[in-house]
Amino acid sequence: MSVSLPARPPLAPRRPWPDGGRLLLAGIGVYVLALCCLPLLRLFGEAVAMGGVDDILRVFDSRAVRLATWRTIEASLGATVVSVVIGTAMALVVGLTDVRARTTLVSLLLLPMLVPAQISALAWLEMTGPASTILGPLGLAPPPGTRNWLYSREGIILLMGIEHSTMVFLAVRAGLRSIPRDLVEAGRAAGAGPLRTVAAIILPLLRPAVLAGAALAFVAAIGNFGIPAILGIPARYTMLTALIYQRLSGFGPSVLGEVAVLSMILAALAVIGLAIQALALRRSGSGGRVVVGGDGATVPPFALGRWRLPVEAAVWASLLVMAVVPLLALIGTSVSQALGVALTAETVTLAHYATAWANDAVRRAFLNSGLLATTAAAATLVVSLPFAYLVAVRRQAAARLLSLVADAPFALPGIVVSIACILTFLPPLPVVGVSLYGTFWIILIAYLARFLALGLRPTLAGMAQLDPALEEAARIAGAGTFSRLRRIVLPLAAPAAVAGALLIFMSAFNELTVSALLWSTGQETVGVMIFNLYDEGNATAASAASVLSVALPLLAAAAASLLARRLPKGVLPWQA
Amino acid sequence: MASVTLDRVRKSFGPATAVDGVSLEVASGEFVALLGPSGCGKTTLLRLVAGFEAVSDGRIALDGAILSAADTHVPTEQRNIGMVFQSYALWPHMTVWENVAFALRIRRLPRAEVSRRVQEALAMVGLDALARRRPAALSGGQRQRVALARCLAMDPRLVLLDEPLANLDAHLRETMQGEFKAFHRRTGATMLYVTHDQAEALALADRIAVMMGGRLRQVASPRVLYGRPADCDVARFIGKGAVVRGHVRRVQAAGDDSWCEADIQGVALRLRCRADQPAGAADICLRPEGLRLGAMDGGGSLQATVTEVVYQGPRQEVTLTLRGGGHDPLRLWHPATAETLYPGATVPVGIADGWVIGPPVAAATAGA
Repeated sequence: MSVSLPARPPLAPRRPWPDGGRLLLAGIGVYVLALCCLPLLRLFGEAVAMGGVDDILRVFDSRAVRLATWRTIEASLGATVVSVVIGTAMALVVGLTDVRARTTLVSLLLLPMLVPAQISALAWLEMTGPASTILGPLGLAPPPGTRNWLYSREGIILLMGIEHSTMVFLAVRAGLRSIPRDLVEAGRAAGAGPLRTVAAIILPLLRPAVLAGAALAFVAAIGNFGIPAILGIPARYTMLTALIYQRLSGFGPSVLGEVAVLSMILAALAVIGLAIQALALRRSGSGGRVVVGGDGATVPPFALGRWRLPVEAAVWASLLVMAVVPLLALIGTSVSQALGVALTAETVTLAHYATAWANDAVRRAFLNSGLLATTAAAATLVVSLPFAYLVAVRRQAAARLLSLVADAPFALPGIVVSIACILTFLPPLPVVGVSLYGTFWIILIAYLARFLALGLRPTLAGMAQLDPALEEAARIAGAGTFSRLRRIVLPLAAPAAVAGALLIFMSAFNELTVSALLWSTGQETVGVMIFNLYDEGNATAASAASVLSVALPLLAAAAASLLARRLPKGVLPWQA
Repeated sequence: MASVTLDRVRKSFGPATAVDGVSLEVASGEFVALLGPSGCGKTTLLRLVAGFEAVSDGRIALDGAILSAADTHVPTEQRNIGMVFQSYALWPHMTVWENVAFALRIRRLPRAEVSRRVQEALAMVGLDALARRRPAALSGGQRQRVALARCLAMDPRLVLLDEPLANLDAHLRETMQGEFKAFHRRTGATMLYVTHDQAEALALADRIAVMMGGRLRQVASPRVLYGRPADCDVARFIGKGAVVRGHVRRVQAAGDDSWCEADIQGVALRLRCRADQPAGAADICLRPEGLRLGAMDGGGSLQATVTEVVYQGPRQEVTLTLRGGGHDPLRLWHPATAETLYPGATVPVGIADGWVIGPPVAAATAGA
């Protein structure tokens, strides 16, 4: 060949790792440490420095605190049992039998995940209350004036159990998928029938997955605020999250030191749960290595034969009751003229939607939450692409460490994050001298910290599936760090990152736990506004606003599903 | 074109040493194959030259300019070398044309120049008609050609190839071997080719560097490597050589044509050897094509026991054991049409050719 490249700049000796990678790492380091690490350290410091062990003991000396701690543990354990029963049973039925319409079943099972806790609590109250548009026509509604039985410990346990059963379901389903077909076929070949195979081979192999799912459900129950607030406060069954909310909204920042200690109790309970989950996952991981040699195929479904119809009927019935009918009841209330007026074709009205939309506070809340969720999703999208690149493609140890730090605000209860943010951003910022407390910005900061891991995980999963040689080939071609990131990594990992951003939008739009402590008049979020409407006794307006607020994230989920073809497996949790 | 110098290059990952003091000179325009079993460090060595990894010690230079040393590391993107990957590493979101043009666009060449060079490179591998396709719409062989064209368009001084044929089926592999030879002839680029397949290395390379346990065992032309292996491991690794123990009686030194009178189990033989081969005990490499069933003309034969017979189509491969310890099993080829042998039979084996590796080295297998 006669052609040759123009003379390149002479090769000058350079230090290992080009500067582009270092620049990225420095930027992401500052972002993660400032948002995720600093506030949590500040909270920890506050709880310790409050005056030492004596003050901490004094907080714990209060009967209300001890009772709330006990109730948190009691209700969370109860809810975990409910979650494990529902989640495991559903995962076994969907994963191991030949029931029909499995994709639909899985979407229904995961619906509770898309509906925030406070809204499912409202929906259940509407379904079972005296004014129920579901039970009423059936003549089963309790007489007017009856106190709803959901306002009780058992009600809290049931609803939290249903709400978090999806976590157990997902963990067990993943566990089922990792069991190689050979093991089951070997059992069948040895003469075991289907039931014996499930009992003797599949369930023992699933134990770590069930335990991991149970631990996650427990951590979620500890940090749940919507259900303990809506059901527990009227029932005088106060759990820690509700206690923190009551103290802080009753006495303001003066009780920060005390609620810091309370949130540390929450954090400690969550850490115990997370440690159990990590141990369980490690065990299931080693279990996975033992079975190397399988052909990678998963267990084929067992034929239910004549039991198929009864099983299908039972599954559909329970799913409808758990996930669909409460939402229908909510819609029913939102279109009925007044509580107690029978719902017929003539009485259906959209007036509550009009009223709600005419309400300044409601419109403001939708605007605020829309802005918060969009900004948090977009900002995290921008950060998580180079972040995941450093972790998954460049395999930098420092970036990997930062990704573990970023997990903390998402794994810990949301209320812990919001108290950490109050403590950090209540004092005026250095240089500018302005406090962020009571502004839009403190909510945004808390969301950025809390949801970074939610957006990062799918992006990491997407990049981990890229052939490292694709990036290396670009280095060979002479492309520098930023050029490779922009022209090779970004186009290939974009679908996964966008899916992560949609997950953030869905979670942030209806978020209540974090914003319940951070909002102020003018800065209401959708979650706070619905909670307040309900608190004022305006059930119809609250129902109408709830229906609207659930519709938007469902649209986002649909958008993410459209991306599904281009996504690596496991990015969207609701994919069958 | 460029010469490559590896000088006592070492690379360790934690306590494990992957490359252990490798020195190698590759002349400008030379085609050198790095051959070794999996895990021998050959891919790590290639990645060190590419700059994906930093050396722990030693130095790597290209035309005398240092690329890697303990305190120096020129980033890959500034080394201006070409590389063909085992997985081809074609960017799936770019067309064939964009893949080939990437390096030129990074260098901000004028558009007309980019077009001309991409066109040339694609024409050379016979893919100009598929320029608008995406890699996913190509066959394995076509992808490999695109990877070659991408490398060609860069006109690099040095081309690294990391098992580029490992993912192709046997038939395509032969065709692509021809393409690589043509590629080398046309560009005259210096090439460093990693493979675990000795047939590939023997067919393609000017010189072969055999690597085992992180070290170079022998660097030689294919003919020398095959005919005159430097140690027992190389003899066993290349061409199914068997190493047996014998005695050298008298050496007839004549440079590369030196030979000696020797014996194995008391049977007198004439073997090739080094000019400076001392008399006494020696390891001897015997290959299937140097052995036959039956006595030699005017010579004795070894008695051996048949342990296995494998029908291979044109021939039978017979495995035999010699009496006494210290001998590898012998392998020889027997016409498929000849009488069938059965395990357990004792047969005479004649030796037409053998190579005296050298005096037995106690630690030979331990990697000395």
